[in-house]
Amino acid sequence: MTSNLAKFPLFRTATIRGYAQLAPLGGISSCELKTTVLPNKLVVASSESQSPITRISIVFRAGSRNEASDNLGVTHVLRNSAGLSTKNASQFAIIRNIQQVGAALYATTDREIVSYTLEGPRQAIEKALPFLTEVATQQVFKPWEVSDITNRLLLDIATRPLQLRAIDLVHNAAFRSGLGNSLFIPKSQIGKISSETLQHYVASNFLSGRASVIGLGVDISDLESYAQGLKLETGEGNDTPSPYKGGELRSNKGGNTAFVAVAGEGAALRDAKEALAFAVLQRAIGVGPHIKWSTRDNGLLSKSIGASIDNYASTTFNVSYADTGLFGILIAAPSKSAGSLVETAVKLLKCTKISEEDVTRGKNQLKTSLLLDGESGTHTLQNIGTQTAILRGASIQSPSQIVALVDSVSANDVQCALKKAAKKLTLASIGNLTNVPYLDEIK
Amino acid sequence: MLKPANVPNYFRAVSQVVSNQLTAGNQAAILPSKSIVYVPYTGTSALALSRALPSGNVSVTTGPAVSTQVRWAHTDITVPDFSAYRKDSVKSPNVRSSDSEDSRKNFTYLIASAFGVGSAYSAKAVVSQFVSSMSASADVLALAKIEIKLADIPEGKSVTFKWRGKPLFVRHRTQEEIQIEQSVPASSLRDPQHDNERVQRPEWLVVLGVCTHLGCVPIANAGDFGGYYCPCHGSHYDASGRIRKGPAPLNLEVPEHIFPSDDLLIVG
Repeated sequence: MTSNLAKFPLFRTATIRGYAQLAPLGGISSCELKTTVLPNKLVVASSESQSPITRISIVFRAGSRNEASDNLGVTHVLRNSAGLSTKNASQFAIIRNIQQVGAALYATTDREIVSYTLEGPRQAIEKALPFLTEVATQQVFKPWEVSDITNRLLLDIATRPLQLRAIDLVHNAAFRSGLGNSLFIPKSQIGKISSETLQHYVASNFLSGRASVIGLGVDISDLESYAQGLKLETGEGNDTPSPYKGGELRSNKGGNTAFVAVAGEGAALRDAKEALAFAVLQRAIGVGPHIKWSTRDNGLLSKSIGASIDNYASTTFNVSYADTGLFGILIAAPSKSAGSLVETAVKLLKCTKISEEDVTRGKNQLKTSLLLDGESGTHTLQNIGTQTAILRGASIQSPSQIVALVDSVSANDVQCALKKAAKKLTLASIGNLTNVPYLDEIK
Repeated sequence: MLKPANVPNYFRAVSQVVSNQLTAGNQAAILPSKSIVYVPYTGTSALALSRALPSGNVSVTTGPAVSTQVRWAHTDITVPDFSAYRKDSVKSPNVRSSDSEDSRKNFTYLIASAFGVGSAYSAKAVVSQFVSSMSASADVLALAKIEIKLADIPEGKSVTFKWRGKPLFVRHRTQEEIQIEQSVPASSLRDPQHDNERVQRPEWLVVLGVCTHLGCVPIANAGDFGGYYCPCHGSHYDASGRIRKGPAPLNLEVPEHIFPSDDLLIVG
């Protein structure tokens, strides 16, 4: 298939390694992360991990927290519009050219960022890279193509699992707007996000001052010259702070199970020390079983629930956004036992003394999970992408560098973190809510 | 619009069991039929739930032909059966098809070569028919030749015939004329040609009766050289048809001719 896109000579300088030196498929996870900021404030970060798989991601600080009430759900439509016809490439050309070389292109959105990622073998990336540029920066949103994805939106909404909706609800209750926006379009907005709305959203958020280009398994100088060729409007755009407010939301859906999230304010990503303390606290309270086929972890929550109730699952979630965060416990349990579990969880958040032993266990678990996650290129890419988009080149750290900082967290930091989270609680529940108490009923 | 009298209706609901037709329902609505989506069952055991609970940042990933493509799967598509088109020798799953390869190939080659020969033959017939249509037709060929009986032409006479629409002079030269023409040196001529180049038998001169100046018909046995004379502009030809005097640039043209027997001349 011919295309009028200019091929970008990306890997001319790539060194060819012998069999004896082959790096693991995931690449060398401890290799150095290099960062540059271009004159137009575009951040370029890359790590030549020697992996045979190269991943390149274009990240914009344009997640669902930037939606306003009139364009609610625009990021969901934007996510599903990845791969529609662009200025220079048709929908067919994009899919055909990328699949022909064996690469994969996908769009990821969360509340902070929208990222477009291309991954595949090195030679394939070189051929498919012009299409990443097209999909990420040259959108046109043809109205007839945008209206065609309505069914995909409906399907996405219909197949959301309840635990995901519990996380959505707890965000909505805690932040109301901004970070409270869902990752999914509200049903009432389907069909109302037009091509113009998308174009306006892209024009006001896909700016060089809000973007970064991340690479794994690619040399920084190659990536830099690629990033210089990106046609992005300059500017910083507007950031609306979304402070933690707290509250309660319930959605009674029937069924047998109740999904309840109890949360408080967490750490902002900009406050690295506090973010680490929250991460250690999360492990200390427990994030579910580590051992295969086990249903219990050794965390504080499991200990305080005890063995009286056995058919339930719980985890502690900890999310850091640019200016604030959300920290809490997510419980999934049959409706008849949900009430006492929620009360135990709230009590745990409100009045627990974290011991030195719990902190040590939390640190060890955190280090393990950071290092294990660091071996997966996808996870590392997402991690670095979020960091670069929000921190803009200041103190961006690779997973192995973060591990080195974990030891500096003290028991007092962790206790302070818990105190901050418990200051004002949020409760969100979905499923069979017969026995789930309201927030003000819990003593 | 909320009216004070209506407000109480918003705090209670009434459904009529048997209608008296006096109070009609005031709202009409069309209930849309809802499409049903079967969400994959993930299980509600503690183990399944604990695996499905998210503990960090939740993000959603999709892409062109990556994760959320919608497929409509059919189970009523039959696998196409091509056995009607396959050779019998390769249908059996217990016999190696390489065993019958030679005989299958020979048959194919035989058929191919037979068709090749046949088509070459018919191609040749078609081509030759079209090519032969370009040659002259039989009546044209018949008029293109003329047979002349030489016994009818007495010595010293030049007789005029019509050949291909032009006058043709056949001259029975005398011995004297032959000697004169043979002895003319070619270098003294305007169009230098020796007499031997122009005649096959010395006693018979065959030339076209068209003056090479402007195409008039010369007069036989006239002119200064006793051969031909063109009355139009005074070109003098000798008894060998060569130009000797006057404006004509070339000798009279000698057509192709043969003498199949002693007393027969064929021109053309």
